[in-house]
Amino acid sequence: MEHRDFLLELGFEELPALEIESIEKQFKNNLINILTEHGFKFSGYKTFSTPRRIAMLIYNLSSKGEDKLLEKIGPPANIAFDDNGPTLSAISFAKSIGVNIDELYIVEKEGKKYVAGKQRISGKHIKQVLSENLETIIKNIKVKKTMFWLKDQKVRFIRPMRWIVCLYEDEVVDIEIFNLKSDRYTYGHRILSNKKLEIKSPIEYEKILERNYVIADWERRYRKIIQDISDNLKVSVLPDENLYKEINGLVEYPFVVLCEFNSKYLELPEKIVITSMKSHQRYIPVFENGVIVNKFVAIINNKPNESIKSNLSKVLESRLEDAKFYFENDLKKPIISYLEDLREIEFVEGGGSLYDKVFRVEEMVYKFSRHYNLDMEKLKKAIRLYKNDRATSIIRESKEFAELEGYMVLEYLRKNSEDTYVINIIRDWLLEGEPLTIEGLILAIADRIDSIYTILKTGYTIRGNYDPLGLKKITYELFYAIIKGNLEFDISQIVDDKRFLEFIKQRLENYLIEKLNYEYDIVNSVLAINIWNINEIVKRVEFLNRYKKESYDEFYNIALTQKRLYNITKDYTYNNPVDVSLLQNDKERELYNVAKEIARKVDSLISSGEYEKLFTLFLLFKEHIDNFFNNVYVMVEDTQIRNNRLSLIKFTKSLFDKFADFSKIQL
Amino acid sequence: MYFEDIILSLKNYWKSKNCLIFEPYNSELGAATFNIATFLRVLDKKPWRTAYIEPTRRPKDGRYAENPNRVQQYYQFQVILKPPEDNVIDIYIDSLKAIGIDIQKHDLRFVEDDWESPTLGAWGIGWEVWIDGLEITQFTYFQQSGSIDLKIPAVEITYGLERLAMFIQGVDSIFDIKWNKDYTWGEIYKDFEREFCYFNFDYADVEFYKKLFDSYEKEVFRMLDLGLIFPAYDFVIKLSHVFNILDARGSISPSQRTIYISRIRKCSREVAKAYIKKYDE
Repeated sequence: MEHRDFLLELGFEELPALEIESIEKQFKNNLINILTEHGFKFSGYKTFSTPRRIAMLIYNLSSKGEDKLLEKIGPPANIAFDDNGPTLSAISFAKSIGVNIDELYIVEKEGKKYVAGKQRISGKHIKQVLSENLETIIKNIKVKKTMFWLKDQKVRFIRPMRWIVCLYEDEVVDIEIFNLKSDRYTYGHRILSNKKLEIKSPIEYEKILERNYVIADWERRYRKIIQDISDNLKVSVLPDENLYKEINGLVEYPFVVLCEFNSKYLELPEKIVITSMKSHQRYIPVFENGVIVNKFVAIINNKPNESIKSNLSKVLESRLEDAKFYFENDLKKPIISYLEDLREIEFVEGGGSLYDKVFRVEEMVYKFSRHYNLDMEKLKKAIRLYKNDRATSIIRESKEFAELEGYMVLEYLRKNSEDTYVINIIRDWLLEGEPLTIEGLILAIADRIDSIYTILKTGYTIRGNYDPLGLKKITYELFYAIIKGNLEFDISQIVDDKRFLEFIKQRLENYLIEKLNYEYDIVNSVLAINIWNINEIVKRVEFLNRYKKESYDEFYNIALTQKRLYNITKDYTYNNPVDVSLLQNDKERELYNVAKEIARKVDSLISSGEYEKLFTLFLLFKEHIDNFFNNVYVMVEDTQIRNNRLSLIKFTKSLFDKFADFSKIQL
Repeated sequence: MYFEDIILSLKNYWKSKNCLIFEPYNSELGAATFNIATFLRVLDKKPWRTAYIEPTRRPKDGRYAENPNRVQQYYQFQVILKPPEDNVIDIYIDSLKAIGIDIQKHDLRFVEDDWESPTLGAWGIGWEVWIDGLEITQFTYFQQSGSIDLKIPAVEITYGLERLAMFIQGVDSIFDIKWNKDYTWGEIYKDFEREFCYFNFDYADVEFYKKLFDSYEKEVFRMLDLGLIFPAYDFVIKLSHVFNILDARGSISPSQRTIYISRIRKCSREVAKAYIKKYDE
């Protein structure tokens, strides 16, 4: 069979920059899956993506899929063959599947015998496979939003498709989709080489495009940007991978330029200056000795010149001018006076105003003040300030600075010369960097608990990845804050609501498994215990995880022992205390005494976090348990004695249960 | 190129592309999309190609004529291609050449931006067109108008004329744009701008406008009951403008805002439905 290079390029109107990488990946996977499914062979491949194209070059692709043998079941054996050999029925079956009569064999199905044969299904040609599957390949590319652009409204994709190149070596593979016919013509850079380009064979695709100002390889374009900044401009820039990726998705041939802007705008807070550059203009901020300077790097899609550079600066300056207008306007009154305006801003639909939220949070922190030594006066002050930037014009009026919510309040408070400790409390609420104040962590926790509880109360649910209010993120931030601060408290005493607590446990399970990468059975063994101290749950999971790794034999033995205790008592529903007078055997009495002694110690070992000691104790305990089982027969005739022994086992098991339910562990 | 020549050149260019040269609507519009030549015409099953200029009122965007980039009334140039050609982007790029922009010497980019007008229930998929980092055009494949799916694909191209003129003439302020050889934009509009800013931000009679809002809203439904689609739509336009003034006056709280917007959207949806029923079925 022949093996030749294959090229498939789909041309588009400019794709959304942030989705190109994912489209390229899905396109590759879908195409490879289809080809593999149809038995194609190839020696390798390369993928390409730019704002205007997604392409794949496959090396040495077989022209057809491999033939397959498919088992076909024919008539019952006793009808197909009689004493004289094959009957007419066997002959016509063999013919229908294209095999010789002596290639038939007998199979058994549901106790009956049938004749069967292997039909050869010949592999399909690449053209047929693509014609039949290209639409599925494209439809199965998941994108955020699709559109229609043809009269046929069923044709939908992320942006209009405008051309298809499909070549098997030097031949065009004729396929059709979305009103387009495949050909051998691609297009160069929109500005620098706006023309139709003939591709004679797949292998020259990348070179022809490069000669026409298109670097089709995503990674190469990305590396060129990074290299040009460091080697040609020799400046240090904000490291922000997402920004670079987005920029890479906006150019087919990147050119880097270094521009300057009026230094008076450096008087604005750094975050504002950076946001103006990044979030709208996609410029890269420049730093000298760690300090932002009045320069930026722009990645453009055309050869740079002085007029482009001065235009790029002008656009940024007019944005900064706008920011300055908002910033100065907001500072006309002290930030504390914006509190009243929060009455008019909804927290979430059905969840009251932000003003309501602020005072709910204030009430909640009192519950924490019993356990922690808090400067309540400063914390209360911070609470009455931390949401106030939501009412300022820079957050409310301008879409582009909305992402600075939370940071702006800090900037305004600095301008108001607010107490540094109060500012630090609010800073810590944002959960960035090492926390400086305990009050900030408590605010971070109370604010998020309130958000979760309030959002759940509106009837909100997360469906798969659909979570427009970001409830999952809020919950993860809550866990992060608790763990970061090593804060021990019972969350059920803060909010005693069944739905809330169930949600918390379910999210905690995901957090421990997905975010912190703990094994699911260890996580579930701890979550099965009725404790609501999140920090402690995490510590126990951490410990078990470590213990399993470092002392697997001990871990295994303890888990096995508890499983044994569980299995023998799982149908025993009574909860009677052990009756000492009914204990007959020495080993029985010995187990009881040891259990009583352990019961005295277990709680204090858990609460003081001495898990290592506890497990040494458990191991000792295990010896006694084994002794007991080796010498005492539990299921005796006498119900009184039997039940008493079961009660003893249950009591024994309950001591392990105080730490984790090991019956959930997979051994 | 003078401001008036940019307008004339765009008109001529799109006329040569077989567009009907339409004129502005005679009421205060927040965007050229509000013009019946867009909002209603994109809804029906008949092909439609038009180009027109539209003075656009955005009361909140005013800065008392003190900010070189922001004014409360500016001009949009609007093109509707229904259905669009396959090479619609090339046709658009050629229009930039027609107004004297040498695209070889500039950085032209199509940056994802899905346009939406919540009051009109209109949205589409497309781009902001950037020239040297400056947004000069909104390019949109319309998907819905009046909350109703379009039957025929339509492209809306909206040029910001002042932005373009500043770029082409190389001036740093809207007010310095040369309208023709004798007048600047500022000479025509500076006093107008300042006075309207006082009106929008400081003196518009809130109670009066709130009453107007309620009355106009009633009129929309009264006209619809009488089967008078265009008069009903006229009141939707007025509603939107009254809302913009109240918003600029700072008399609409964020939570009321959503309610006001959904009231207007309901009106535009009803008008769109009635239009299709009466003229397109």
